[in-house]
Amino acid sequence: MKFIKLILEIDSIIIGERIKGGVFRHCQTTIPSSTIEGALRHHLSINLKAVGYFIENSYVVKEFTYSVNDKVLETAKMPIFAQYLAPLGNGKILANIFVVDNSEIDCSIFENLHFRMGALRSKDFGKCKVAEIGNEDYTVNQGILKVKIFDSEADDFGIKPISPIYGYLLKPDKYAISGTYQRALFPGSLVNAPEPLIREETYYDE
Amino acid sequence: MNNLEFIPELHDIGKLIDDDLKKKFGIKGHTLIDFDFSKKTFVKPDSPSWCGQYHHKKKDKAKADDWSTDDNINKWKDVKVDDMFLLILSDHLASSSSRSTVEITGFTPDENKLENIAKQKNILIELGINKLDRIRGVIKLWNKSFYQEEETKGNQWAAFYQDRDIKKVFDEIQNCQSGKTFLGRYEKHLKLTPEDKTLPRNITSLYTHLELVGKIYRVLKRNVQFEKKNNEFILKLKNQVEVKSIKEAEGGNRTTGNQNTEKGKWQARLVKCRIQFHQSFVRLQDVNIFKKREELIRSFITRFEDNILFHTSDFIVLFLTLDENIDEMFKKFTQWGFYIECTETTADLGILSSNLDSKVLIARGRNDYARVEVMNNRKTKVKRKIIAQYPQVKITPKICELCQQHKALSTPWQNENIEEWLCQTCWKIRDIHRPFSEYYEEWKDEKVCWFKFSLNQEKLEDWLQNSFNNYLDYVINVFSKDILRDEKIVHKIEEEINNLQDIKDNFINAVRSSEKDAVEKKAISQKIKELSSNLKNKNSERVKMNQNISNAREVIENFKKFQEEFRPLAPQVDFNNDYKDMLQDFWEEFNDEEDLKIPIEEYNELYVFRYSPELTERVLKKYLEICDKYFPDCASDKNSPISLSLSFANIKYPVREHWRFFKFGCENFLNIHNQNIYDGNYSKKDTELIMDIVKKSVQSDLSKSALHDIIQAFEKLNSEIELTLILKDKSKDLYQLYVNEGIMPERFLQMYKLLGGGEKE
Repeated sequence: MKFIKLILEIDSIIIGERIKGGVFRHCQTTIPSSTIEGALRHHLSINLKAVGYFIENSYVVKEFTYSVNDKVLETAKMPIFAQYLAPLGNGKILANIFVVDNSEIDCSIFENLHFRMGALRSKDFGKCKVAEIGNEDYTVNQGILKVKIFDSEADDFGIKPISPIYGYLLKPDKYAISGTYQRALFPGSLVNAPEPLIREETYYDE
Repeated sequence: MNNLEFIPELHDIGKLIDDDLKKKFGIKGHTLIDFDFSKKTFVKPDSPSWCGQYHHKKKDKAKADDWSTDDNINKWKDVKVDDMFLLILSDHLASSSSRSTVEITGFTPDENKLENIAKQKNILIELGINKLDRIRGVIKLWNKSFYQEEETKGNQWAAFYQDRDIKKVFDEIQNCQSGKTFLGRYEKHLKLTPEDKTLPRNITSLYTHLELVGKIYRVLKRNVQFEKKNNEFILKLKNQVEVKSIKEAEGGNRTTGNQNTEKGKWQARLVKCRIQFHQSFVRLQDVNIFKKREELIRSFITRFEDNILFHTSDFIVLFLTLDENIDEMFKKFTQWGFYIECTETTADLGILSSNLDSKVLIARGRNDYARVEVMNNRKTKVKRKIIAQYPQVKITPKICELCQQHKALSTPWQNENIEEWLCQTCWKIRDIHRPFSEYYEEWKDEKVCWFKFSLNQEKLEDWLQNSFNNYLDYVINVFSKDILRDEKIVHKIEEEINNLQDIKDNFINAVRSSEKDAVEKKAISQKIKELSSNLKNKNSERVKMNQNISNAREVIENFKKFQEEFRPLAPQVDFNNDYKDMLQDFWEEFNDEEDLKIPIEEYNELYVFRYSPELTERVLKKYLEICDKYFPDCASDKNSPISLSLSFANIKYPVREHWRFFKFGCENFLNIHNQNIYDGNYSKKDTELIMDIVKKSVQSDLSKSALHDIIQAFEKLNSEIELTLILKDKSKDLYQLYVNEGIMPERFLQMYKLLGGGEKE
């Protein structure tokens, strides 16, 4: 299975979980297809199929406290604690992004690409820079999925679900104003998939 | 014959009879079929359960028409064939070792077998058991002195030890109403008696073995037809091939090699089920999911009691035939939003065991062709399945904020002007009950500690296998030492033989020499004769010693096969039962503690308390105490199947985040999360050492700021030598902790702070 592989360098980022009703916001360590596809669409104005995750041992999870201002009442609302990823040590957070390689994509569009992704961008979170571009062919193995990916796009990524765990990702409508929650394959699903998208190789009967 | 049901749990009742009593009444082994009723005043039972006594029947070669349980069922006599057949299959499946894999004789503790005594005593010394008789009790791998301690309390394995008790045995077989009644009546003795008293099979309690036999028997009974076909009886497991013998149904009992690996005709499934949920907890009531889960498990047990070999709050092991529909069984769970992660192993009855899945997967991963080929030939399958409600392709907003699996209801759940959008299921679960009011009212703005006990079943299986290997290694060591000793003796004998042979050759040459006269020659011939006889004796001594060595080597080989074919299911059940007792013991200590609550009464793994150093210390001390009581010989580091995780945070910190820590942070014996301050884990030894020093230090002048200074100095200099010198200067105890145990000051400091150290500052 052929992917364009991008390695991103990031200073700090929040890709929050879609949980409401709390003052504490957890952040995830995968980059769902909805998030990266949305970010690339916003910056490149093209629809790409992509998914990713942060590279282990390049980040630590920290907490950030902020409170939203009520501009009408000129008061601060209850403080919110948000987890964010920060670099481990003096380097950068690294992330692997896999873009489905169809012959129409010119890889040069990713060269030196800077874009923003995730939450609290107004607080300077989510600045991403494409540091490396590769074009690789991956073998497909059985294993446990480690990314969140739209079920409808799984086939494009060479993913065949064997025993899936489903969740939902938001797919914006064409005006990007609202959208619908589309069924998605979640981490923990047993799949046949290109090797970088699985956590461990497994040997179950199918 | 009376009208009672056949009770499989009664088949091993003979194992509860005291050895002296058996001797007195001429009972051999643990079955009663050879009991001479004609000479005694007892009435031979004629209930259906009596035929269970034939489960080890061997052919009496002196009788032409006699039969054994290895024969075709059409040769069986005096028994109800279908009951006996299913009993034997169940007995094999519930054993902790494949009975016929390796036969080791001479290892039943027996003071009368003098030739074995020395060896047995050596083994007992290795095992730390100081009385031969005590090995007749069960040896729990995680609590090896369990039986010895019970004995000192006046408890003993034998339920029948007086003359009059023999009548009780026959009365039980004749009149017992149900397996449950039998297990309940003799529970204490059954839990002290091993399933098999021979070393090394003595690691499973008879209670668990019989409970498993009963369950498996009843599952098979529901699914097996017994009928006559072409004038011969046959047995047929639903939708599978008909059989006429045990061997035919089970196939071989080995999973590798080229012996005893032939395909069986009957297969069944063992399914390990982990009950999971998607919900994240926003409010305290959302932990009601545990209440619902317990409720559903209870209902599941009622409906499928026999299929459930054992269970905990989130884990169930099922025994199923190929026909039983597991999706249908879990329907109530999935309707409430749970999903079940299953590992399903399908295999011949001869090899089906609770660790077969990992054996198969490891063999495939390592390309262990010998085992993979046997497994493939025997059509062994290991599948991973997720049982869940089939999800919709898309959901138009709003989506349920808790489970994120369903569309939210059109009206929000409201409280204090906060709106939450929930689906019907999450709404219902939230409204089941209000866990306890103190949480938000009295404990407002305080620091709390949520804590959870966990039992990791994968770690348990691995630990049981390793522990069983170690247990057998004791025995192997004794034999290996014997081999070394015998080899030295053989070497010495061979030297003596060579010397004698040299002397003999010299004498022969002397006789042949013409220099000797007839008298001298006669004397020499006499010496040659003596030497020959000596040589003959030495040679036979050598043969005997070599035979001993070869026997010992064979035993070692057999014990190694035993290690390979170990079946952890029954010890796993015993372990789980002890874990449940441990949790019960814990809660009894804190039941009346006002500042410590159990959010869901039915779920006794999860607790929360209003933080205080004293309560933290009490919880940790009790944890150490109950682990010492129930699991003194179990791993208590990263390999520990049992763990306690404590998560400290302000009360406003969401319960869902505590839970996330419990789900992913239970790596060691003790795991600590102090929100935004520290995450760390400790072995039992670390915990004990640190707590000892904390106890001393709380009263001392050691301050938190001094500790912080030490830590900062280390972070700055990153020099272990510097750290050693500072510690030596500041605190002798911390210096020892670091130098001897490798415990860094930060790990000490974090626990020190939680336990109230340095509060005087």
